[in-house]
Amino acid sequence: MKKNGEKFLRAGWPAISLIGILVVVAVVGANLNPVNQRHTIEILINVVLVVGLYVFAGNSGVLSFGQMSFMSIGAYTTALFTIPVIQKAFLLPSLPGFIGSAELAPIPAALLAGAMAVVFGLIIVFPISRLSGLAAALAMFAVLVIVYQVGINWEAVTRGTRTMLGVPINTTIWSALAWTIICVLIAFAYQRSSSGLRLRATREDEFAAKAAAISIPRERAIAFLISAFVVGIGGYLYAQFQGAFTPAAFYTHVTFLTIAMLVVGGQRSLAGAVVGAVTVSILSFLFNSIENGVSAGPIHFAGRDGLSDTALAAFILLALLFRRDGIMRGREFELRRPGWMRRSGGGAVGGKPAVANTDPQAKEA
Amino acid sequence: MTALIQHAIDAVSLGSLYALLALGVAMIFGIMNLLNFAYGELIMIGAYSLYVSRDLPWPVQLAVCLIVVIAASLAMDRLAFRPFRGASAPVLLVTSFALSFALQSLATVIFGSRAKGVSLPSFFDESITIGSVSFSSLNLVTVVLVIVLVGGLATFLRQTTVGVQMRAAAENFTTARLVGVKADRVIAVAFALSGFSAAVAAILIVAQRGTATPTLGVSPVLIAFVATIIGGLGSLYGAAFGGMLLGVLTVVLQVVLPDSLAPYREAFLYAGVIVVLLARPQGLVVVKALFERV
Amino acid sequence: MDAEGDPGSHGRLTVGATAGISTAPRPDGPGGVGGRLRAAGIKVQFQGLTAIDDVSCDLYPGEIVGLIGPNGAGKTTFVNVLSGFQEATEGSVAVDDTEIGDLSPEARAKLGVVRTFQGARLFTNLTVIENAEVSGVGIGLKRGAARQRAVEMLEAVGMTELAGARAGDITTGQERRLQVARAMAMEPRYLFLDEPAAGLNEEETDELIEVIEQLPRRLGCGVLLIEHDMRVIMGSCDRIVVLDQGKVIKVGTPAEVRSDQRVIDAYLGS
Repeated sequence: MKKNGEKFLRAGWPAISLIGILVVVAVVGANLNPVNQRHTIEILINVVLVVGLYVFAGNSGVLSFGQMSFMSIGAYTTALFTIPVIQKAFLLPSLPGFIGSAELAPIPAALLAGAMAVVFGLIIVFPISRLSGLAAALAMFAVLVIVYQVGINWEAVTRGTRTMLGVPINTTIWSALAWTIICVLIAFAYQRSSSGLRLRATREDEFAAKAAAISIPRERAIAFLISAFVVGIGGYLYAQFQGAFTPAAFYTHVTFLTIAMLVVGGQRSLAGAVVGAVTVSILSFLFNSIENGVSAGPIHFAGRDGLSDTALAAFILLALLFRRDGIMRGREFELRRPGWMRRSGGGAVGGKPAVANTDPQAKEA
Repeated sequence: MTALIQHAIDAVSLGSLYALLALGVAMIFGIMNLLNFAYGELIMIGAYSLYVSRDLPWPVQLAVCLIVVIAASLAMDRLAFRPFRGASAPVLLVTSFALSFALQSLATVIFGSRAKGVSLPSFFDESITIGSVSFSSLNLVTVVLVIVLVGGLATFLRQTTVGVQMRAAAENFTTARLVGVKADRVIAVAFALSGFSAAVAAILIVAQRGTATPTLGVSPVLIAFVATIIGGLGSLYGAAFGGMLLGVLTVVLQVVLPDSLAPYREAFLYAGVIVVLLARPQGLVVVKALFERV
Repeated sequence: MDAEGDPGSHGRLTVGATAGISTAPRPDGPGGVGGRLRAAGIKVQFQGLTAIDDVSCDLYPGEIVGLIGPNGAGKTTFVNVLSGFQEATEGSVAVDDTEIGDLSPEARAKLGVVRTFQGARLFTNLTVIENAEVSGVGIGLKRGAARQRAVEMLEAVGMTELAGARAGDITTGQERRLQVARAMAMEPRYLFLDEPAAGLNEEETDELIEVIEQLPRRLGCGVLLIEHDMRVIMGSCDRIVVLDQGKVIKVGTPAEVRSDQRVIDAYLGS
């Protein structure tokens, strides 16, 4: 019994440790002032978005500039299906009847947001999963532009460039935490699955992966759809957090920020996605508060527009300069292995056993 | 008939500008595998240098723009990209993105986020009438300038030692180094040329818009990326062709789309981009030796 | 031909029992029943240059066939054609009389047509055991079954202790052994090894060859071995195919090949 428990703990530790970090962030945040409580929710939403991006980009090694289009789909789906019916009749008079009369509770709305993102994903996944490298990244960027353009022009459904408002605000720290944990678990389960392993192999070497009977488009497509679901959930959380938004919220800024978070954290591990999102988000709030002016005793440092972004960009540059492979260097958090497992058989294998992207159960299987 | 000629002039002029942008990006990409987001900020810097020197005589104003942007481009290579030689593509991409973000923010700090009006010599605004066709002299200037520049670039690449080295480096950087091409020098020349094209683009764009903003460079650089990639990565002619194609397509869509669909013009354009990528994932102009051997 | 390398008079006589040495369950494996891989009249042209011309070769489960020839003779190109990484201009590749020439590399691998690459091509950021597991999940095993198989294969090549190491951190000798373990985990019926011992010292080569010589009996598969080390080729192979400038110049037993004048001129030297 004890052995099984230990085995479970060891195998699940990369996810358990990340959930631990998220719980700490949430608990600390919940005890801060209202502004920082809002920031805490934003951090958790960023984690969902970056984890969603990681499921595809991290495991496949194919960068995507368009994953945030799923955030847009998730957010607008949430808005259309949760804005109170009376308000909707006023805000969006020309909606089809069944949407006009729909008013979903939070959990069904979240699931629907994820599902709609997957449906949209299904439309584009077959062409996209056949492309690699920059062509894929750029094709996804084209998707982002198209979704944005449709968003600002399809007034009957999205209100165009006018703000979509009246979305009920249900995202609290705790509901955001719950969804974030679910998304981390989805990502973890996926990367541990045989499909996840196949995809990670294609990331390392496409030829060798083909020789191992792996169909690259198929594995990419699976990750792409899971990624769409998670990012769609992120869109739901965002919509029910802000209550109001325009298509611009799901365009280049959030795209590049989430990519930067992933790369700064280290794109080859789930821990990198979570750590990157948390670190960069916290720093950006910190820099923001400085931008609004800081008083240290008699000295008042007046803020200025753009300062916080400059600082954030400088941090990202420095982080990349000193850690090209990201903060986590592609590793997950692992429990330290017992001594007999750590013995290394070959001269070339060095230490760092505490964090290694390895499964310590190798020998017991 | 008149309308058709008018549209053709618009298309070629826009295509020329896009080709210029694409060349500036492709130049760097071919040699160091870097899609440089911060290319857009070189254009932005050019725009602000025109703004700062607005009271000087126009030849000086244009010279300031050229010098400042080329210097900025060289500094960018030296300070930001040189430490990242040999880094993976996503790292380089995010580096250049962070740099672009930093420069935009810095411009906001210095100039504020509101647009600054920039006046350029009035001859850009004059319109020329030939028969029943009239067009702005800016259109003409754009086309002529780009033709001259592309011709000059082709001569440079073919006739000078550095040019030949650059072509070799674009073809296969590792081999080029082995045969004694000085990497840093070639890269510096590429950044200087890229800066030159950004400066010219800045002048043309400012002449058209009349303002400078911190985010001025964002959409040009994205257009340049698209043009470079659909044109065929690593090929300068491909990039120029991709830019021209994109410009022409934009105008064609403007003209042929019915009013109800006109707002979706850009959506159609990017749908076209996806189709091109699917049909020719290696780009329209395929460079040999791009395919990895087993 | 020593006792280790001789799988019986000829591979085609190999029957079920020989495959039973493998301890892993092999649900869709070959079961050691006869069969044949036949490449007939293969021709490959790159932009007008003929890389290989009219190359034919049969491979039976249970035998080791050597493929030798000078650099640029077309050995790897031929393996690329067999494994689906290179389209042949002419000719056919068939398994048990079923044409597979139009199949993708991954589809062929699923049929048990498996290859290794020069220079290993490991999944460097995965662990050693994950590298071997990829093969199992590649042919459709569940993660647990793939892991079990990977453990066995690492044991077979003596790498159990390195299971948790990052594949990018191991030595060349270990890389080569891991590559063979990876191929073994694919349940191959026909296995092409492209210079598996390149870059190894004599001792490491001997260790690896020992593993390779056991493959036909252990897995019931046929092995096509590209190798420059004549000691290895002559010691391990049942038959040898000699390529020169894209053409087959000799097929025969090690003794026949060694004494063939054309082979000596083209490749072996005096």
